[in-house]
Amino acid sequence: MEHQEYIIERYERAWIFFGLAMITVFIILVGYLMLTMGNTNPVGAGRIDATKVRIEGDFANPRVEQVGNEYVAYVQAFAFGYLPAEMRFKVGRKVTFYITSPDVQHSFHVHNTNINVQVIPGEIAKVSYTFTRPGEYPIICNEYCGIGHANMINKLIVEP
Amino acid sequence: MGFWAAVWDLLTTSDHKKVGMIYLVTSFVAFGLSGLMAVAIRWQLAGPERQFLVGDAYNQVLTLHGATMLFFFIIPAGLSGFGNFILPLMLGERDVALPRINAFAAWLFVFSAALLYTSLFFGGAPDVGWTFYYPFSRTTGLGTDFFMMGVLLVGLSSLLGAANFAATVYNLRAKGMGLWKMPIFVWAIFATSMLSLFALAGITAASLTVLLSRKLGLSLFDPVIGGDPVLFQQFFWFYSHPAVYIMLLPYLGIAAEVSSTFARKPVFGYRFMVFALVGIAVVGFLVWAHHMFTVGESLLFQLVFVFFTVLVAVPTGVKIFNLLGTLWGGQLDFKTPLLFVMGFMFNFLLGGITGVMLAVVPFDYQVQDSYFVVAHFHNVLMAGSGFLAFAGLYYWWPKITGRMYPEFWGKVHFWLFLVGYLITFMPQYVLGFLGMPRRYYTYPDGLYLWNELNFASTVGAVILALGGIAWLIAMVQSFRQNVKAPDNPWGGYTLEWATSSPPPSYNFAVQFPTVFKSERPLYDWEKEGLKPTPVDPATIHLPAPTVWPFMTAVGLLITGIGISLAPNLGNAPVGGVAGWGGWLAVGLVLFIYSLFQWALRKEYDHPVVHHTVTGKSNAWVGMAWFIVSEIALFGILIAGYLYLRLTGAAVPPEDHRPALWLALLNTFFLVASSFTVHYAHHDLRTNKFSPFKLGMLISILLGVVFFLFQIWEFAIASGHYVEALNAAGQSEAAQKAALWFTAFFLIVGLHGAHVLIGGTGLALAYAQGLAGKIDSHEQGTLEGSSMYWHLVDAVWLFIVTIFYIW
Repeated sequence: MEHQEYIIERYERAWIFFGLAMITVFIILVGYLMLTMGNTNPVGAGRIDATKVRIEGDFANPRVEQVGNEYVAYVQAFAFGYLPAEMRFKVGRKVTFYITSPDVQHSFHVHNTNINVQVIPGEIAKVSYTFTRPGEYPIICNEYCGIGHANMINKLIVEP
Repeated sequence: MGFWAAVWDLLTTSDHKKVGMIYLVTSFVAFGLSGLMAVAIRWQLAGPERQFLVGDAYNQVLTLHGATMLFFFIIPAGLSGFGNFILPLMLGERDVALPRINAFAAWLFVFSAALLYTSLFFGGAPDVGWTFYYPFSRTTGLGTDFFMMGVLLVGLSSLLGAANFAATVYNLRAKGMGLWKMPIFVWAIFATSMLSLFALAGITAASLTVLLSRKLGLSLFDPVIGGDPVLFQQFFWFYSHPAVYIMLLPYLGIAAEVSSTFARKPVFGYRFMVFALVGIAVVGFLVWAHHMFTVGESLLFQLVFVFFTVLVAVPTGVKIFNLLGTLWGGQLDFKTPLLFVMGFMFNFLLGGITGVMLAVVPFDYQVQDSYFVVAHFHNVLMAGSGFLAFAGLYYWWPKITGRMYPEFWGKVHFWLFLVGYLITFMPQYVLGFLGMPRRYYTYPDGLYLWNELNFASTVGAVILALGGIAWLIAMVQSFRQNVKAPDNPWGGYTLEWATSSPPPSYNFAVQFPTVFKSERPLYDWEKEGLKPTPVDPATIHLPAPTVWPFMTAVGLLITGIGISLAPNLGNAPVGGVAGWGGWLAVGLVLFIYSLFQWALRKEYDHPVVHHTVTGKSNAWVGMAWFIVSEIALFGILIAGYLYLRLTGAAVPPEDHRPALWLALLNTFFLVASSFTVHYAHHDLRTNKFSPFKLGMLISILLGVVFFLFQIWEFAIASGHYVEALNAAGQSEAAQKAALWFTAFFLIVGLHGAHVLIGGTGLALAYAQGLAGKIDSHEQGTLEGSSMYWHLVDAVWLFIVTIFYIW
């Protein structure tokens, strides 16, 4: 009996080492993907006074700007909607979104892409993406923000 | 016994079995209630653009469903319910370490549930979602105040319960039962209690700051004065992720017991089972930020949390394999409890694997807060922990009620739940892939497969409701058929099966053999021919019944209502509901009065000699564990302050800093009182009563002086705070000062509240001394309160350093 238990514990130990090795591989893969596949990690791009989002600075004038061959978009996510009302980009060009909220937390999730950013009042989120397929992309809020949460929908259009 | 006599017995009892029943009945009723809410939610979502439950009504039901299921069913049912009923039986003991604290915690738990639902009479339930994210939670209605108060009270109840369990396992075990001979279920409760004590501070900090933000405008998170809303999420998930393991570990213990009994084998790999439990508890602390991958933290930060998230799957996998190993080659007896364990194994594996999928950050971006996540956590909580809650219910039903249940209806219940579960939640995984976000009360027509999958999910919910009806039938039939349960209907080998069903109030009228060879003592004793020796029940003394723990909890309920109704002076000012002051006053008076009555009621009518494993008293060990949670609470708030201070968001004002000389004077008072308490305690132990009483009086007075000085200091500081707040729009320095003052009021004020609590504790011991109810043998109140007082002192030294000197 004692001997048998010893064997069992040895198998378990081997299994645990196998598990840890799997995790190491896994972490390296995830890290590699995050670094190389399209740069969709949201990053903080500074603080902003949430009470002044609507009256001064870049976000008071939500817009899409073309800078050289790329786009920069300043987006306001508010209860309940997004500004600018509609965004248009050309396919294959890098777009950098700067997003903030004047009231409560929201999110900026562009369907069929990896863009999914929590929008936090007082903070500016930045995320970049290159659209490779033309079409209409719905934008939704998946951070619960109140009674109009389900109606907080917008879209962006990628032109060929 | 007549009806009123039975009610009175329930209100005054401190019997761990009745306390366990209070938890079990409340939590299973909560399950039924919020299960019905879930069906209502699914009914609304059965098709696009339905009008059954829309807008704010939907949001309220959604919040109540989540909050009730988590705080009032899945956390308490296993830990407090089965834990209280079964754990002392498994340890071969008469009761838990602190029976009256235990009864108080149970009633406080019931009343915090009541408090949450009281909001319905005052303008509506909370509609913030159970996660109450800041700053959204400061903009919502009165229901949120009730919710925050309820969370604070249920947290206190949870901490007292956890400290009690830890002290019980530490101090009270049958003679000869070593830690490594405890049943897995006991280990599970022990690990869960430690997890609660260390982690609960997170949600206390989160709900306390949200409540103070609403009531007084004090918030570390307010972006207007440079606070950081992300800090809220850190606080919240610091508890709420470990809480997932609080919701799981007791049930894993149940799974081990049920598998072992119904496979007629000992658990496979006992030692690894325990390591895995403790491993989950430890690693569970290091994974909280995987709820925050989309917040915009750095790559390294995210990878660290990916690593620990995946790592926690290892001990969890060990548990699953050990359960499989237990069942492997066993003589499986497919009774209802085993069926639920089987259902758990299959479903929990799915939930665990989808959990690892969610740890892959790029994939998480796709499905964050979508129905994929909804399906995942229902997979682990409902078909995981929830199924095991029912496994435990059917397994211990004969022991608890003394009756067998109809096997047929139990099995119908299981199959309906399994099929209903799969039909409800498997489509939700797909809906998540298709982009349906959670917490939507409606969705437009014409989206690919959304209508069909949502409809299927609703059909599943209806099947689950039918399963609920089968469950009710099983229970009602059990009482109607009244088939007397034998002592050991399943042939279990742990000590709870060594007494009658239901157990008598004193649990065991025997002295057990002191030889424990494994975690299955009944098997070992049978093999070695050892028999327990009978004890005359007349010589057993149990704690005397008292109603005051119950009344103390009532006092807190009324106080909680008063605070919830009070005006909100914070960022979204609302006048209070008329009469809030009355509620508050009545509640506080009742609370204090009952607390003193409780302290003056001796625990035992007959002098009893207590045997404890450690040699320390139960009060000492219980308080030692409780203090862990206090240190964690200050630790997490101070960590928040340090973050704001070190990033330069909070800077003390140069000219209006609270005076250092006053803080040093107060330090003198507090340190001096620690010494006087120490000497008073020493005098009590050597039976010198007059110096003891004098020492206590001096300590209390020193505490009062400290407190009065602090009020004076706060009055001055609040003037400067309001000045800074008004100037925050114009000057950056004023803004930073306002945030610093906020942290100052929050943390120093919380310490002040602890001075008040500790001082009340000393006053209780002093009152016992005046009434002659304390002596060198029965001095639990003083042991607890003096240790607490030293803690208050130690925390103050920390606070002086980081707020007055730095």
